[in-house]
Amino acid sequence: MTPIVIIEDDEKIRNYLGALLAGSGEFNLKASFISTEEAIEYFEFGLGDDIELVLTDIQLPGKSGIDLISWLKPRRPDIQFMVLSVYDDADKVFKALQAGATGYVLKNTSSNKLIESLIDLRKGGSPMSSQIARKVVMAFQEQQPYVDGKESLSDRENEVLSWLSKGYSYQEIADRLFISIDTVRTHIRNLYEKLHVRNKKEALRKTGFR
Amino acid sequence: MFIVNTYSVAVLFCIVTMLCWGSWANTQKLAGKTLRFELFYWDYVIGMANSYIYGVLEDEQHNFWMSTNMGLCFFNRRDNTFQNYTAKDGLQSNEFNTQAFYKGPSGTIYFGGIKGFNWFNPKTIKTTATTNPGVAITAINIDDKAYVKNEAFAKNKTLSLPYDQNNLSFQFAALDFTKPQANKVKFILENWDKKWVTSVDKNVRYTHLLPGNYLLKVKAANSDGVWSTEERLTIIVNAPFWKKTWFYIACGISFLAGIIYITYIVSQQKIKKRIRQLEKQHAIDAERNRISRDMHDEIGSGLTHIALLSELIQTQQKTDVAIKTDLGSISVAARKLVESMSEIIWALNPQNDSLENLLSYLREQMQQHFEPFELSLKIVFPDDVPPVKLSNEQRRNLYLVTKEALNNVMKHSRAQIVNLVLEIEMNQLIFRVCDDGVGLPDTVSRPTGNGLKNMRKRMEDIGGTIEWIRQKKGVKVVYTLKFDN
Repeated sequence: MTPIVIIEDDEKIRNYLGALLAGSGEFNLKASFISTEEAIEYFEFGLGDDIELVLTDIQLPGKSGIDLISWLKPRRPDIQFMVLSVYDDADKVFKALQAGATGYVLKNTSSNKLIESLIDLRKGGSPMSSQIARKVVMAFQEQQPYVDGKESLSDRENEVLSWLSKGYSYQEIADRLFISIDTVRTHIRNLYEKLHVRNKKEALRKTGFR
Repeated sequence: MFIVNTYSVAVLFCIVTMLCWGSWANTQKLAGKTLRFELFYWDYVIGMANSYIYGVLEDEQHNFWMSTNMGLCFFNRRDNTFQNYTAKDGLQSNEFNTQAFYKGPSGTIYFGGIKGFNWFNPKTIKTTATTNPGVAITAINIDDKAYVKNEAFAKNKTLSLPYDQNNLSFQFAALDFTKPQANKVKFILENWDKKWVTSVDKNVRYTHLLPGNYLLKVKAANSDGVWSTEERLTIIVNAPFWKKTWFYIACGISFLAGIIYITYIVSQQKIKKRIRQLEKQHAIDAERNRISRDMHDEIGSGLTHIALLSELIQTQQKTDVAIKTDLGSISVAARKLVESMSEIIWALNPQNDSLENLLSYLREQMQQHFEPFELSLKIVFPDDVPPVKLSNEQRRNLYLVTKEALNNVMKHSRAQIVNLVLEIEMNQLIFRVCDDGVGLPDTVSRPTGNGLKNMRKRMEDIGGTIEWIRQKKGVKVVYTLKFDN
């Protein structure tokens, strides 16, 4: 049973998610919040020390879900962040990924799919749509000074990324590259991590640090 | 009596005289010892003033002096020329008399006339044949006002005038005082006059001289016909600045510059106009995008609620299967609507306007959509996609037609496999959806169902084509679109 918190301002959806998580038998909903500020308070007071998963909406009153991730991820790099999005808003989702999220799921997803995605995330997989993939490609194409060898993409990762941006499913990619679907998932997870690191470095550089 | 200068005219007159007045008889008087016969005919030849010769004397240079009714006549045998002297030259009168001529031992020649007699020694005569006369420009008037530079107007000067002072008159003088009234002057204004003009008046007027460089040359001849050296005066009439070469060049250059500048301005205007157009279009697109998202947010969340609620009830209630099924339909319908809205938003997002984007989205969506079904979907798109831009409508309609075609296969064809293939040929997109199912019903030769009609309309709206082709097994739907790039 993975301890999880959710941040969702829509009451009906919050209740629905709560019920869903409770019914799944996999996740233990510790708390639910209606705003980023509430969630931050919770963690500041040390109440969230055992949390492993955070499921957050992007659109929130006050600070956005992205702000939450930006605040919490550095303090708790061990936590997995899954963002909820109303539709495949590549821009917002991409920003969330840059901030440190490792997965996203559409609100419109059916219930079992939702749970599946959470379990997937827990296992180490990360979903990525073709639009997101394209954005990731562009992000890595931008020139950056002082790029560490470890932070640029490996050949395999580049390959996976390019097939993703063309819209191929994980299975199709796995078939093409003669690797297992889990390997594909891992690659994507690594891509997200590198994206996040790159973003962090960029932010630091802009504020004058190295 | 007048002096004839040409031989032929003289001969003519001789014949006339002979016929009329029998001058032949006159000349008989002169049949003296030393005279040659042809001399009888030189009455009117070559400058003899008068043909009535009273007496002839030969001087020590073997030239002849003759007294006539019009003064004395001197015949130079060396060059066969005559020189006439009249009372104006100081003779007693023009009329001399018979038998009144004598040559003295020292060579002095005496001729007598009606008013007295003259004597002279030819050796002492200073002819003006050896002296050169002088010539001078004595007055210059510009626009009828006297032009005074300094008193002694030196030779070979230059007169530089503005373009509006171009009426000039000159007065000349021949500097020889032997016989002033016999002096002559000739002049030429080079670049204006075509040839030398001999003037008796010794003045000339030039009006409306055009801008240019002129050279006035003037010569004088004395009574002996000797010409002086040339006196020269350079006259420059300056063109007004608007007629000068540099002015024309400057005008030409500024005209060209003007044209270039105007062209530049016009092209700038065009560019600005185009930019405004693009900005406007961009604003419209952005607005559309915003509206659709706003709507989607509102409607999307509402629909999601409906779906969630019905799903919740589905899981909780342990009642009728029928109710569960209906609830299932509600949630499916609601979710479908949200999906449709997502598709609309995708089509309206200007970031998604490339063909590549369409293909990725198609592949992803269709795979996801048809995943739960037994039907095996194979998508073949070219790996290298040219950078084609598609309008919102084009993207949307191609997407929907594809979705509809695949849905039809799934719903009606009972096929096992369906292929979605795109070929790009020249400037045309060719989509093919082939299945191995039961094919189109025989009664249908043209699409009549609403769904098929819609597909046709959608393709027509974007200027493309669509057709259904019966295969041995199944149906092939081919739809095409031309793009410009």
